[in-house]
Amino acid sequence: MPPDCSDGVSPRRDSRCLSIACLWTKENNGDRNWGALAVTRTITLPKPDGVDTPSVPVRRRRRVEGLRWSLLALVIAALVLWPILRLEAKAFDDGASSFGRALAVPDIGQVLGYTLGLALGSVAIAVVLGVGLAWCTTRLPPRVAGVVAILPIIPLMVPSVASIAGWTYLLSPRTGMVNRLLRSIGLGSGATGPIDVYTLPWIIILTGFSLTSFVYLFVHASLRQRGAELEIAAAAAGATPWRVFRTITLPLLRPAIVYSTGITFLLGLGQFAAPLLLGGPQHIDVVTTLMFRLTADYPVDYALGAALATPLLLAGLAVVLLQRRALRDERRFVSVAGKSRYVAGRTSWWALAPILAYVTVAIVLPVFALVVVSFSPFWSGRIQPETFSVANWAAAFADTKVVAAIGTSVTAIGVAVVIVLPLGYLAAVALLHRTRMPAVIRATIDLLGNLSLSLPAALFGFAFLFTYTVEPFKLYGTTAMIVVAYVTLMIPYAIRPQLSSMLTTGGEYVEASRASGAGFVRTSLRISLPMIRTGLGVSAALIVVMLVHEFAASVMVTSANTQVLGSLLYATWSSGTSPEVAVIALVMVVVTSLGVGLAVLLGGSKALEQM
Amino acid sequence: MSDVQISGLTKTYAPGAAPAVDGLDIAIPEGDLVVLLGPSGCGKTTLLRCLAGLERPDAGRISVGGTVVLDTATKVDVPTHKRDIGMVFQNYALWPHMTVGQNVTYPLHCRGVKGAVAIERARKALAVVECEGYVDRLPAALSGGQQQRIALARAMVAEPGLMLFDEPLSNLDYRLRAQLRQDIRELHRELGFTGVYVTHDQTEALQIGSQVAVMKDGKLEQLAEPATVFTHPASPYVASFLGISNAFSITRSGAQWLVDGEEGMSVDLALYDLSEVAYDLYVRASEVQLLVPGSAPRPGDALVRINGGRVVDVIYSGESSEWLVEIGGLTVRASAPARTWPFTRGDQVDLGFDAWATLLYTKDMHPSLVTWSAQTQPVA
Repeated sequence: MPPDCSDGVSPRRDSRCLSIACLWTKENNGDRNWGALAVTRTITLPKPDGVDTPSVPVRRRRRVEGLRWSLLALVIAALVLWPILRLEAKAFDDGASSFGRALAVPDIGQVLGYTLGLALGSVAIAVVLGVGLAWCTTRLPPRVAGVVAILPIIPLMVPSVASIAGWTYLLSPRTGMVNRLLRSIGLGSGATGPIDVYTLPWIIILTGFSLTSFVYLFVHASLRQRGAELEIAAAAAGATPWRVFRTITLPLLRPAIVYSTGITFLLGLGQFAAPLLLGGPQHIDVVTTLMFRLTADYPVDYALGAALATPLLLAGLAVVLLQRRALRDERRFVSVAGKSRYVAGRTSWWALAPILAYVTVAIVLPVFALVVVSFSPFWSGRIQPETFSVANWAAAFADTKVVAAIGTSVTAIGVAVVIVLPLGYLAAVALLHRTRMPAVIRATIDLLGNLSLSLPAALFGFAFLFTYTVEPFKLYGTTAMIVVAYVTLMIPYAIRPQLSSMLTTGGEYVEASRASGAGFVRTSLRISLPMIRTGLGVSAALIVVMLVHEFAASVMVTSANTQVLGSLLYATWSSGTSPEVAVIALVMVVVTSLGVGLAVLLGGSKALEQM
Repeated sequence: MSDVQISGLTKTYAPGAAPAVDGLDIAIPEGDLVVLLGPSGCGKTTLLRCLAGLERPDAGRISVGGTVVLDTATKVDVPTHKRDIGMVFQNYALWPHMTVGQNVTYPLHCRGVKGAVAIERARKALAVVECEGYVDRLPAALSGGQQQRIALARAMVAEPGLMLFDEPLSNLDYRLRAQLRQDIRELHRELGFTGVYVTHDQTEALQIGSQVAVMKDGKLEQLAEPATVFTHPASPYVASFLGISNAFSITRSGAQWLVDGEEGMSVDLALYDLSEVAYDLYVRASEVQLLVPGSAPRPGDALVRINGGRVVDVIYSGESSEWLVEIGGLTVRASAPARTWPFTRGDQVDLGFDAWATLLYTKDMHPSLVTWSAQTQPVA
């Protein structure tokens, strides 16, 4: 369509913010902005209803409502806060002697250094790549922009353990395909190298690649929401493209960049899969893997684990506080919502190249490696199509352990979704300012509802193990324990998409329905629910994807007899063959895809776009 | 300041789609402000974006002040930032992270003007739009009207060869719009810049433009001075876009001119020498008079009369009123100062208008306006 069609400016632009981005942004809660303010500003929050006259019956009703919402806050606190508090209390048992023992752990300085180095290094890679890719999408020809802009998010849909496994088949020093290729063209010598994936630099690089998608999500959402007119204005003022990027694009992206840097830094600190799977041969340990090693002993030294976890906890707290400070002067980042169509300046097909390169490196190559290995009878680093067979797949599905793991995964995820979606719905309703409740309770729900985003899953896993293996729960080895863990970790993912859905649908639609003569039931069924359908679908899809990917907590809370896919992959990694690992990794990829497909069915095609 | 020559400009967005701009030729003399007027999708914004270098046209040539900035034949395509333009946007597009002063000095810095000189020129530009006091404010702290004034200052500050306006007043309420229209007029008169101004608002076009270009389907329908466009719309398309809504399709039948599709309704043009057999007849609401049914024509009147109307509504809007008259299957509008006619809803009326005040268009592929000249004067 020619740009002329945007003559009318729609007052309430459909906020098609990427929902994962929404998860961490608190833009909708008015008072507590520690979020990426420019990421999703279009949502306007309806003012609370008019001042009500404080009569006795109203007050009583409000007190009862307050009580109900307190109950919700209590449930969320029990799930999220209780295990963490218990664990931290344990650390301070015995006059905090566990901290002394933590400092006495051999090489503890190196472990902390690796943890920090991994976080900083991978964040640097992710921010540069993520911003670069997002900028490239603004330069895409409009015909392909919509589809191509989704591509850099796809790596989020491939479980990180699966892509790491794929990478080892490409880059392991002896049998990596890429290494063989490099040696065959004369780079490197001997039977190994030149690349060794089992080293810290490569752990950092691969982690950086996987975090790139997160940065891209935020930055892209921010760019898309803002439109390109500010850049066009600069070009019209005579600024060269580089000057435009430096003086306009980059400063305006500051909130998105600060925000995503914080998030990816926390994710980097809590990084578990890459160091666990790749750090083994050279004993590269980070805090989370060290905690995991503690769980192998009996009895588990929880106090020591808790002491080790404390820095991560403090870091999470510090990052959240720093972000709030950094983004305080929000007015500078509020920009006008432009003509709703994203009309960039000059477009170029060259912008496609970096995006395709990233997608190739981040998904195509590792998945390709997994497929090749899964069809090979054994793995030597040579692709031999003549030996390909489905024997590994047949063996895997004949293996009761694999079938049981798929069953447990599907059951645990299914039950968790059924529990966490309504919980998220209630929390979202609570966070809407349209709902009346004491501010303290709203703030509590808000804080606790997002807590699990700022702490590493490995830490949670450790805390779950500590909390739910003892009286009165005794859940160790049961699917119930996995369900409890999953529900706790997924609360934020259940709240945010539903909340942003509710916010974008606005109060007017419901009021319009009521004004048309529809009662509460009809309004809910015909208006409210269909309108948040996308939010529900996105929530469900996100949760399925996240849980299939979930590795750190899964590995901690599962026992040898009750495995989920992630923990089974690790068990196979430790004691099985490469093709077995490849098959399980691909099964994880397939289950994820099914989850996404299901969500699209549930939430309509928009769901995918919003992920 | 410089003249603009556009020739053969064509831009198609998708293969097979109708071109948004279709082989356009326009010459804009130095110091002229050409307003591109037309409905959504007529190609006016695309043309503006081509001038700004934001679109890559399929064919054509554009030169500004003698410098070729685009020529698809010789593959010249000067990027936006080297075109020496100033641009004003619908949503102001002030950079929210910069103060007003920083916003206005930006184009100067881009052109290598630095330091105190830049600050002084920015101050002057802000003085022209009466916004000197806001130098250190952030755009978010200002109202829409103030923001757009500053955007004007920013576009003008470097005295670019060409000013581009992309519906700059659409986001403002109507009072502010009227005021800024006046401001832009005055600025243009004082500074004499060459400019292209896109709008879909005819009032804006007529008031601001030194030339008005009405566009249709990527082509130029009429390019003329505002008064000419208003008094002599070149085609029925232009006439109806200007809000001339009373249209009759008429066909010659013997000595009579019958209104198509209306049994027994005729327009009395017998006195005039018209060569075609069919025309589209347009009459402005302000030219239509309401007459008491059957009243005798006053001597010397050249009134064309249509009898048998009925008032269906009187729209009162302060100083003027509009009478909606149903006549056959048509609704005719007549406007006049309030209380010109005593007729109210349900009254029977006859319609009358002067023949020379009508717009007669030939009915062919490219309708042309019949000029009421010597040959179409009443036959004695």
